[in-house]
Amino acid sequence: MSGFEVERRDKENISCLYVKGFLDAHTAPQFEEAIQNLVDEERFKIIVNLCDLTYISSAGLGVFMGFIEDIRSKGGDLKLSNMTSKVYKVFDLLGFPNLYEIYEDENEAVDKYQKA
Amino acid sequence: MTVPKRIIVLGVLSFALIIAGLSISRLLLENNLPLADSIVSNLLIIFGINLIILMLFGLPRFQTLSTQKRLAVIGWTSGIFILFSLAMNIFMPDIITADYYEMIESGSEPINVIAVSALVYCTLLLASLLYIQLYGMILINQKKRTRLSFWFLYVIILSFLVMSSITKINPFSTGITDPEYLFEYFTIAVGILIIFLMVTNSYRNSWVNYLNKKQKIITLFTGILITLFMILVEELPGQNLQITLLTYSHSSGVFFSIIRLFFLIYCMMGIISLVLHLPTAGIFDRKVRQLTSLFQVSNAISTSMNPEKFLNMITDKTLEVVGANSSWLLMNDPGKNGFRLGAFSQVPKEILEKIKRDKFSTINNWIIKTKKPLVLHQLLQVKTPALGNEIRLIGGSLLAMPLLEENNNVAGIIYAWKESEFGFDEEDREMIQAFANQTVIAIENIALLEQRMERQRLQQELDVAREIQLKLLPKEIPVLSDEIEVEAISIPANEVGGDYYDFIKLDDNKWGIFIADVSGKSISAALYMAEIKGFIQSLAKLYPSPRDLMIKVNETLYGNIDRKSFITMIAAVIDLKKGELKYSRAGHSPLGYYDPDEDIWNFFQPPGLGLGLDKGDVFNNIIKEETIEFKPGSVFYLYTDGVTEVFDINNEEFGENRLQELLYTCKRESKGSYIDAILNKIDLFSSGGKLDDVTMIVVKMKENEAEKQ
Repeated sequence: MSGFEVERRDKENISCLYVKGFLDAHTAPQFEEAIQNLVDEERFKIIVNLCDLTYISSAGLGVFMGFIEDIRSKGGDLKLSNMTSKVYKVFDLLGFPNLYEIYEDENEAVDKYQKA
Repeated sequence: MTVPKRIIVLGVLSFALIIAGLSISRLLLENNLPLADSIVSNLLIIFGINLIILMLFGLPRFQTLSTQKRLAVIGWTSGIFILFSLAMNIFMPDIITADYYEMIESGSEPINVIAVSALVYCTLLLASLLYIQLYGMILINQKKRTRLSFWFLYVIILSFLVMSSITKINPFSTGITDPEYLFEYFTIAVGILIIFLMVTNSYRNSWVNYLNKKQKIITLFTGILITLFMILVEELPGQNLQITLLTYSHSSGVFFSIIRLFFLIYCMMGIISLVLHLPTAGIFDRKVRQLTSLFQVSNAISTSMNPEKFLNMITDKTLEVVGANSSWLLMNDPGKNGFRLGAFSQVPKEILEKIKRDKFSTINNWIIKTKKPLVLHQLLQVKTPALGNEIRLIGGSLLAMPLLEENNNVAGIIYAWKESEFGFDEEDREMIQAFANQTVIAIENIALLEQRMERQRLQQELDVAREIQLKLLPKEIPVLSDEIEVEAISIPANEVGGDYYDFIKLDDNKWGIFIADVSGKSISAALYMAEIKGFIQSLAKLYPSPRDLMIKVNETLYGNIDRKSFITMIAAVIDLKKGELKYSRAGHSPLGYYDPDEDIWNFFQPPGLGLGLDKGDVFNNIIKEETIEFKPGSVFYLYTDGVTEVFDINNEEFGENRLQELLYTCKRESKGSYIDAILNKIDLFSSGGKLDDVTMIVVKMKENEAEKQ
């Protein structure tokens, strides 16, 4: 299995997480920690850029669910962007597009935050 | 102890030989045939000596005596010799007044031949005993050649006995008389060789090393006494064993002289060795004690698994090896209450109370900080304030040794206390250090064992869970109707899985078919799987529409499932009468449908959200119910993502496309099991690698026979 990495970049009050590699039950805690850190810092406007994500399992999808309610109740959001078609298929199968805003490009998500 | 028959036979035979030898020589003498005196009788006696030695070797205990016992046997035997000789000197000064020959002629011989034989036999027996015990001493720590060199000596001695009985030359007691013939020179040369061999054999006294100091001193003084007496007693004016024996039987006398000389040489070598060892005996003993206790401690690690007993052993050994007055061991459990008393040995009441009160916390803290052992030579003089004032009260000297784990954690502290000041030297410190190392190993061993037992226990519980979970899946596949063939399987990746499938008869014409996949793995997934089974079983008949059922299940599940977990599912209802299948999909993998009219495999993915993700606002709006005509020749294929999310060695996914192709193949070949074909294929694809939970249901409607014709 290839590894997994999360990189974080902050743009003003928006934080962007770049996830890379395999997101499964083993690597999910890593991703969870990254989001938890943002929540702890009260940075609730989050974009997750998935351009380098090669695989996501149900445990990986669970991570988004674990935080979304909390983040939204604090006026923030988790927006997703730059999914490959393969990853989008997984999200789509589960009906995630109905729960999350998914953008083709990260900038669209940023615009959306800034306009709001 | 029963004496073996062989030994009795040898004893009797050897005694008979001695009597025969002595009788012959007397007979010859009485008949004035002096020339023949020797050879025949001496040869008989030499043969007798051989049998005695053989007999003594046959005594089983003689081979296995310990060094101390052997020393005792040697001591007693030589003592008897000395007493024997003395007794002869004091009580029978006239036993031999002149030449034996003359004695017989004048008829003044004081004892008869049997008595003489008994005397000779006893002496030979004692001499042989001594010889064999010396052999035993020499063999301790034997090398390859030790045995050989000893037996070489024996053979040479026997040859010398034969030669000497011819030449009457005996350098061992009567000294060397002027040799006249070549053979006499040769005899003397053999005698010298014997002395040389005795000396070389006498170097082998490594047993000295194995005596402790006390034993060394006792052995040394006994050895000196015995040696002195052995020399003196034979040098006294008047009778002694040597002269008596020589008079009656030349070869017995020579044999005795040789053994006596060998014994004396061996004694002197032993004494020299003992004297040389004596100054270091104390240190040697201490080292032996240290090694022994280290050995015992490391032995205990592998055998005793009772931690308390082991810690007690450590404090006991600390007392024993460094000679401390008290020793105690504190175990550190930083997670809990810090230090606790693990074991103690001979701790006076007042110190014990102090230990229980504050555990020497100042010293403990100092050691935790420095990770180094601490030696306080004069507790009354301690001036370092960090160590606290109270320890002054105890007096004496104190050593504290940390038990350092691999990660440099202080797992505990061994304490040793002595009444006297400056009680601990560098060696004591090293010794306790060694104990500390062993203790750390033991503690780690115990922890590992506990871990292993815990794992075993978990495994057993998982096995039970697996049994239970298997019972939650259909035991057998139901017969829906004569026209319909059903296959189903569920294989968990681990002991328990998160996949679920079920068939429920709703009424005479309707069957519910369900397949679900709980996110996550193992125990949590298995528990939710049981939960969803409960929901389906209780709600399926109440909500015959798959969409309604899903909405109800979602409503019930939401809030009763961890926020990070969710369940995907397809609920389908087959109406046999109408020939249709209604279904809803909640985030699950698509439903495969083979349309016989079009000869095509479709994968339907109607909108639907995973169960448990949303309260219902989104879920209820999205979820759709679809209807498919269930006509002859059509096939439904339901699966969990364990079928498609299989990876090959290049990390490439098996995927839906390959699955679809495979289903076409299955359909074309028409015969045989779909499930077997698919399982084979994905197993091959993953090269036998580990699969996720895999579940499949195949529902086939037989082709219309009439139509076919």
